[in-house]
Amino acid sequence: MTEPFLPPGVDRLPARRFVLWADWNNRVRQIDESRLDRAGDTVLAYWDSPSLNGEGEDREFTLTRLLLAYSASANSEVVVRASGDGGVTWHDAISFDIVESDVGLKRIARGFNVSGFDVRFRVIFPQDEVVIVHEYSARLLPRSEYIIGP
Amino acid sequence: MPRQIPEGSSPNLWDVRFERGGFRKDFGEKFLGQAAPTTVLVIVEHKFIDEGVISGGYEGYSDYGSYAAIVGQQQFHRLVRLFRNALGQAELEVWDSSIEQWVFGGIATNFATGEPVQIESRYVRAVSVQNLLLFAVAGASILIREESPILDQTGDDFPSENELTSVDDSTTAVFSSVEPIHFNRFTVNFSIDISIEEPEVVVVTLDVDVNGENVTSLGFQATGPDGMSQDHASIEFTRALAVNDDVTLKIASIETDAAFDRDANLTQAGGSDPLYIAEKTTEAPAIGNNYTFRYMLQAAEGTYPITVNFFRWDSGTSTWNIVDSKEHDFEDDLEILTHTVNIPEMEQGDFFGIEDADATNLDGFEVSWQDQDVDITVSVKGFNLTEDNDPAFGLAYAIEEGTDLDFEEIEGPEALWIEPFADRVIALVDGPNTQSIWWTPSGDVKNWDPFAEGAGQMDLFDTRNDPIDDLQCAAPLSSDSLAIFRHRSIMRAFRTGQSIQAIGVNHWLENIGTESPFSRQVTPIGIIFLGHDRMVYILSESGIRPVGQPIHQILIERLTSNLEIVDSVFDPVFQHYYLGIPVFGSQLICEVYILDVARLMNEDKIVWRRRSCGNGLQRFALASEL
Repeated sequence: MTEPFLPPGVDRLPARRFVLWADWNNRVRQIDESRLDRAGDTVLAYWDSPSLNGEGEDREFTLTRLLLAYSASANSEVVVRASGDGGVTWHDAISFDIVESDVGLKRIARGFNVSGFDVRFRVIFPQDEVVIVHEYSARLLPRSEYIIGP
Repeated sequence: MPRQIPEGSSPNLWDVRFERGGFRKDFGEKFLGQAAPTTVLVIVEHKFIDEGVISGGYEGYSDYGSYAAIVGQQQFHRLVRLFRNALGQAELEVWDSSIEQWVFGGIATNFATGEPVQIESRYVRAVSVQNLLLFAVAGASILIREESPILDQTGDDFPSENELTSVDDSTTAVFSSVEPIHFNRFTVNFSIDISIEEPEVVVVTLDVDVNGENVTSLGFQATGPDGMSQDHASIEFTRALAVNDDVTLKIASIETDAAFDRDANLTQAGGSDPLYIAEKTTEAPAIGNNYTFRYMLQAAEGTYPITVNFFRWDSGTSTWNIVDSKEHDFEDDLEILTHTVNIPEMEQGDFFGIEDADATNLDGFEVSWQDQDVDITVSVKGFNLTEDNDPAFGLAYAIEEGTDLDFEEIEGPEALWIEPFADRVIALVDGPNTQSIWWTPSGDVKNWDPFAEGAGQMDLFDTRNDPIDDLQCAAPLSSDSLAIFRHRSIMRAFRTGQSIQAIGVNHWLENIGTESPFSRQVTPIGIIFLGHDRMVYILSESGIRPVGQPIHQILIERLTSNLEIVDSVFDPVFQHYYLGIPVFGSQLICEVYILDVARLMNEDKIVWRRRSCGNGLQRFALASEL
């Protein structure tokens, strides 16, 4: 099932309903589907991938390249960080330039060099533009198997 | 191969939502007006309607159907927030969308003393029910807010001494007010008198037009020989009028089913006239303008078929005009025939004519028809209050001069939770030693006298697992069943169908309850709530189902205290259940977890996501109008 969404150019839901709350400053806020900022502030939204190599495998892998397929309402940027230890530590951020795509998906790939037994990546949205990441493809190189001794 | 991104596949995500098979940044947010002075204890949408007015009909007669129309029934939305002001009082503010500000909406006072009510700073349960807004606050009895407009009844007049007596007669009032009109509702006032000599029925239909366009009609029925008379009749309509708009009262029709047989003998003429002619001697037109000629044709060898022509005399041109022809296949040597001809606008003194083609085979007898020549007298007068001292303005309306607000602590229980159920409001009361349930009479949610007919109160002594199993909240399972949540159990209330003990309660589920009353939301799939064991459940008539497994460990680790400030809301469009929790002893909600209820219903998949909330959040709410 496809999640309900607002088509491009539609700022408000056809059925009227407003989700509200009072914030820490006693100000009432409402969810606004037409924007991504939080009343002027930007949040660093992120999504972590599941383990790329299968969590718990007793084998080391290296993430060498990551491809993202996306659609975007405007030129923008997403940032990707990779981890070799299941998300305990994250390596330096690599920027993916996003190009507006009215029709169809666009693809972008960047090189990585992150190794570990549990390889993952994190997609971060630092800007307030609608970027939808639809697919990803990761190139993993298996490293030599360990010789269990003695 | 690229890998698609199944929802729920991420072990960790913040502020993203799923859309078209992918993920994106979640929706943003904006402020709604200025800050409240202190902690907002509840935000609630109060919906209420004005009384409906039904107008129309045939004044008690049903045989002819009716023009009944419902006007009024206007629905209002008030978004309200309540807080404990600096003096410890319950203060309301109402959202005014025209200025995009919260405006003062009242301070609750005690119904008897008139003194402001002191409340505690704890979450407040509020329900909008039966045109009232009820609050269950800590430290006081139930508070009720009622809003009603202050109205100035005024209007404009029809011309003095006007009288409408026949079809298309009319009188006009000119709308003059520049002030907003209550509901844009107008009443046209008039008197009407209908007399009819025959013992027949007559229906007079009056139209109300605005600038020549009909907006409503009303029929009045009278039966002879008594007729009918109303000194003050009225027609209501709803319309946004501008200054100098014309409102016209008009007689649209006067109708009766009374039919009388008429006839005129055809007499032989000839020459420049048709062979037979007859004069229409009555004034009323025939019903449907149908006139039936009766005549005789006589056979003559070699004359078949025979064409008969029907004439009317046109007095304007002084000529005979053929209005119809009839060709007869003649089978016998002598036949008496009838033929009906539609002749419009035949007036008294006009002539009919009949003649066959060769003027040799015809004998004319008569022309017959039915008419409605009944002696009916109609008199309608549009009111003029100023000069004629009629009982009301001809065009009456009400100008809104403000709003009368009541915000009172009523005489009733100090409820920790209130819930609409069975046309009543149920209150849960948690005393030091006992818990009890109260209910109002059906349809009277202001009356908390437990001895009133239909009302009641019941102590809940029997707790099976916990001697002090605190009451927490309630939520409707169906129109006949209400779930009552306690710390460690869930009871079920139901209608008994009797007025003496209208509500019954029995045990239902043990070892599961909630300590977070505001986590409960009614959704299409059931009641979603946070259990005392930090598991999120769905409760329905068929039982209970855990749906919080993906966040259960998070809640156990982070939701360590202040369970009573857990809050929730259900977005009925996206079908998302929002659960806000304080973490590590916070006094504010710090994290929000969102369950995709639609996916759960449609695919039986449990998908949660998270949303940040800045430095914290207090109360959720849902509004349908801002």
